[in-house]
Amino acid sequence: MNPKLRQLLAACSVEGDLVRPIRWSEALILQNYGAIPPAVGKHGFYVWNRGFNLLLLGRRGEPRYFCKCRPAADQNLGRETAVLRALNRVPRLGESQWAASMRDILTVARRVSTRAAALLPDFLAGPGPVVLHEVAAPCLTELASAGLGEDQLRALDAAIRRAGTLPRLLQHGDLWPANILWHQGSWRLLDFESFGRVQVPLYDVHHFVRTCGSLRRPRSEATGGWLDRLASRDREAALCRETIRREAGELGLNAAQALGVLLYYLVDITAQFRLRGVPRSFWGPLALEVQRAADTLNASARVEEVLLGWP
Amino acid sequence: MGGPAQTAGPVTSWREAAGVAAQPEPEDGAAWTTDHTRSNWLWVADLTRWDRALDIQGGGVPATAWGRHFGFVHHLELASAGLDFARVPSGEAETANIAVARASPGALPYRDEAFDCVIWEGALQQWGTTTRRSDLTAVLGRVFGECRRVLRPGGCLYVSIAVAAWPGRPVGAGRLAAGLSRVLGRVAGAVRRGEARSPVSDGAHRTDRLSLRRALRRLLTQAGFSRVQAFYIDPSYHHPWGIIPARRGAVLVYERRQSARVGLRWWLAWLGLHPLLYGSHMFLAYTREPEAPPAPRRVQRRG
Repeated sequence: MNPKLRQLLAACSVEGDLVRPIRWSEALILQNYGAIPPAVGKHGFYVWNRGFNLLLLGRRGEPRYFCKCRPAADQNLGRETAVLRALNRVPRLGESQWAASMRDILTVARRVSTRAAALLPDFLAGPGPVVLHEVAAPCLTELASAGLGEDQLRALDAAIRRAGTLPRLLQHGDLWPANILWHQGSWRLLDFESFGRVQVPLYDVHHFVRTCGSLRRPRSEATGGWLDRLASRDREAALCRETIRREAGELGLNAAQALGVLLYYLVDITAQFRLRGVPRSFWGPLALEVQRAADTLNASARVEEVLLGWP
Repeated sequence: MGGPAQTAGPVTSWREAAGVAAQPEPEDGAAWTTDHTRSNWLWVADLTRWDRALDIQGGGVPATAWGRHFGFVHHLELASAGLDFARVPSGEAETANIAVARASPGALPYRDEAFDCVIWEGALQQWGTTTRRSDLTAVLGRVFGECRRVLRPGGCLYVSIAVAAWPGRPVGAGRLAAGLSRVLGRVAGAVRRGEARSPVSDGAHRTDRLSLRRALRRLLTQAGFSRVQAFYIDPSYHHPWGIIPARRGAVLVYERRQSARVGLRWWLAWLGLHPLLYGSHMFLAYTREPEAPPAPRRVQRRG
């Protein structure tokens, strides 16, 4: 593919997946109306489009991105972009509505997990409880190979060991707002590809609360990590902590277990991204979160209180 | 489109990256005649240098279209044909960045590795459909060899060809599909969009389409090109409404977009007979990238 087009696609890549090399067999030119760059600059709003459309296929040949390729000065495209930007803006929920939605969704997810254990007993890795430090060990090994320090690994391992064993519960594995729909008056979960891979209770809760917080304050990711925001004094952070505590209570977990699962969640998701071979830009921020968590453990004895507001 | 300077450095926004200037719109309506959609294949070509291009006369667009994309364009008129300045409109021939020469494409009058890109649009058109396939194969082999010679390492040869220009019967595996496609082809002819308005496809043996892609790929590889990419152009290279990688998955996606109904075209594509569906093929063939200079050897001191 043309290097300049590659640059353009990488620049507007939403999920970072257009940064990878695009194979020639993955790009189709459609509706080729006009040359880019145009021979002449055309003014006014035309009822027909100019330029061409580009359809990018995914690795399995499925249509993935539809790109309108137009001259830079195209007025129609600027107009359409402005409309789409305005319409795609996430409606701003009040804090209490937001917290109530999170609570409702997590209740549905918990119900699904509980029912799935009865309906899909083969999915359970074993009859007994989960020994948290055992499932976390491969992830810590992966992070050790990524350069995590010895004292940081030791702190994480110790905190995870303190969680001991937990009741086994099948987790969705990718519970975040993009996998949830409001349909006919109730919340529906989507994308069960990873369902049951993780069987550590509260894992989904941490993932969901973290991604909800990031989506609600997208700019805050640039200024600090998730743990910093979770530990902050603002009202939304308090609601996040409260949500995690309440769900832990519903699942019968104590403070040490809730913290242990939070740490396990961070090391697991970082290690999984790394093992998948995704660019460092994906898992680098998560690795920083793991380091921050380890540093907090080394610096404070009251981590449950700092991160989760647990008295 | 892009010179070497435009490909360097990080991109901060798509608008910055896309910043291109165009001439203001003329008032005489000429805007529509000078806008060549046929140059948009350059967006799927992996070209890193845009200094010099060679445009071999075929049934293609005027050289001025390429002059907008490359620093300098050599337009080659065929030696056998009269010098046809109708293709290079008066006043545009021999302009600041276009030079016109006359020679046979089988013996290009240029030094080795002189061009970043060679463009042969409407290949074979001048030989007509009466030439025997063996003769055409020899011609193509010779021209591709010459194109390979004048391309710099990492350069790109663009060939677009109307299926109708390819004579003869299918060979090899194409023969196996011919029986089936003969039946299906008759029906496909009735539904194939745009054929009636596409003069290049008229009278084409549909079964011949099955062998064209393989034959050209083989010839390009034999000429020394390291990478060959094949595309279909719908409905023809004269009007490239769609450029589709010649892969089953991509064709199925394209056909599904054209019609939500699973019709005969879709089934032909599903059966792997997609060459039957399109009037033109396009090939991008790349010469091997220059090898990185060898690392300096460490000189061991004695004693």
